[in-house]
Amino acid sequence: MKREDIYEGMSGIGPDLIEEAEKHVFAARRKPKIFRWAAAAAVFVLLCGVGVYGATGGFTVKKVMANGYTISTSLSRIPMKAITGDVNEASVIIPKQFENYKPYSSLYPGSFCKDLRSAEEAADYVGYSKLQTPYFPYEEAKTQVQVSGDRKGRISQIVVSVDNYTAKVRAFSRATLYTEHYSRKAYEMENVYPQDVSFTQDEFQTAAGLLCKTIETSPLDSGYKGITGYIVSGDVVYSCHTAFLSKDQAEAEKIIHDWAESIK
Amino acid sequence: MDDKELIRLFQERDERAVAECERQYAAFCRRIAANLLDSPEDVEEILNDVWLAAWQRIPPLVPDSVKAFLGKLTRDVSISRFRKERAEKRFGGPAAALDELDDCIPSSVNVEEEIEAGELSRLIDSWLRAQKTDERVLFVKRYYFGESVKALAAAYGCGEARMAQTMLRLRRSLAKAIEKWRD
Repeated sequence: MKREDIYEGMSGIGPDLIEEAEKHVFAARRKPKIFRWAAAAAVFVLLCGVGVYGATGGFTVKKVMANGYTISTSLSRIPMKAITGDVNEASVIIPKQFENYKPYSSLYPGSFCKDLRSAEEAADYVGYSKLQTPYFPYEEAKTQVQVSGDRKGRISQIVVSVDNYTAKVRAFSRATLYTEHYSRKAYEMENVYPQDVSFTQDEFQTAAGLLCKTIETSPLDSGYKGITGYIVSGDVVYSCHTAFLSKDQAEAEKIIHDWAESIK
Repeated sequence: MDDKELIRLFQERDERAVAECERQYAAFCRRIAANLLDSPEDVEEILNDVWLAAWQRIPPLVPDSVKAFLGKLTRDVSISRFRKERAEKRFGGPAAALDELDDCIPSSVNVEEEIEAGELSRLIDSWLRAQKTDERVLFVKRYYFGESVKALAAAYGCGEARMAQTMLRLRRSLAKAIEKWRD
């Protein structure tokens, strides 16, 4: 065996590894939040925007576009005094982004990401007593806290994200907090896929009495389909997205079930 | 244009396939070749060879991912060029990265020992997937894309010495995996 063999052996590694290396952004280099999410989730984009109220305690799902759907719910905003962790450093960092922003910069001000080693560490970093760390089936490949705020440093939204995009069933977990500075009337999440999809929705009650909404999307050309679960608890919106091949459906369903049951 | 459509053009021997490959993937292939070769002229020649090779191989080949396929062709053509130029002793290209890869070969393995290329790829793939994301990405960037240690250190936000240390640790880890696999 020679070193050239190793070099040539690298030519045959999986296309997903090449894609990952090409798109990956190391923590030291900050990119706008949406790009980081897109890189992590590949086919799953979670955006927040203006929308309509759903039934209290439940979710309203609408297919308003060919390649995705919106899901909305109503929940109380969390007072900032209840958020006591180091995440408050974003109140200082974000205004500086606005001060230093240059129109030709690739970084748009108003968001801040912090990489953490685990969901528990991320929860400590946020410091909200009701924030839970739901079950996650794999090693946490990437765990982040993403903070949105305005030029005055008022934090409006905090997202704890935990991703593993190399397992057989890829899993992406989110916990989203909307603070008193969240200016919009209601909460709506928009899930956009790279091509047209159809979806079916379902819901079940967990042992803790929480309602878990599930959305299953049809397979993309890549063969991957998705199931996403949504739960509200303690004014935090939890979601868990799985992407998988049809043969792994049972495993994906189990992940969503175990994730939902872990939220109290 | 998606991969299916692109492959259909190749299969129909439609020359737009090459133009479309160039439009979509030239930047990706150029990046790999530029990291491995010294002169811009060489890079452009390599790319021409890559489009030609793709034209000759599809069909019968139907790659799962055109991008990965073209990436592999770029590396293959570049390494062929490297060997040829090295024989003529006028080429520096990926020599440093190749030298480093010596660390991946367990000391117990004989130079003459042959290993089937596909098997080695599968082993490396599996080893990569067991690494932490950042480290996996660093390894692929260095030994697939041919990015320099200096560039990786800058992207990662650390010094070159630390990056070299990280890469050494990863190479030794791969060597262990190869050794274990042989046992």
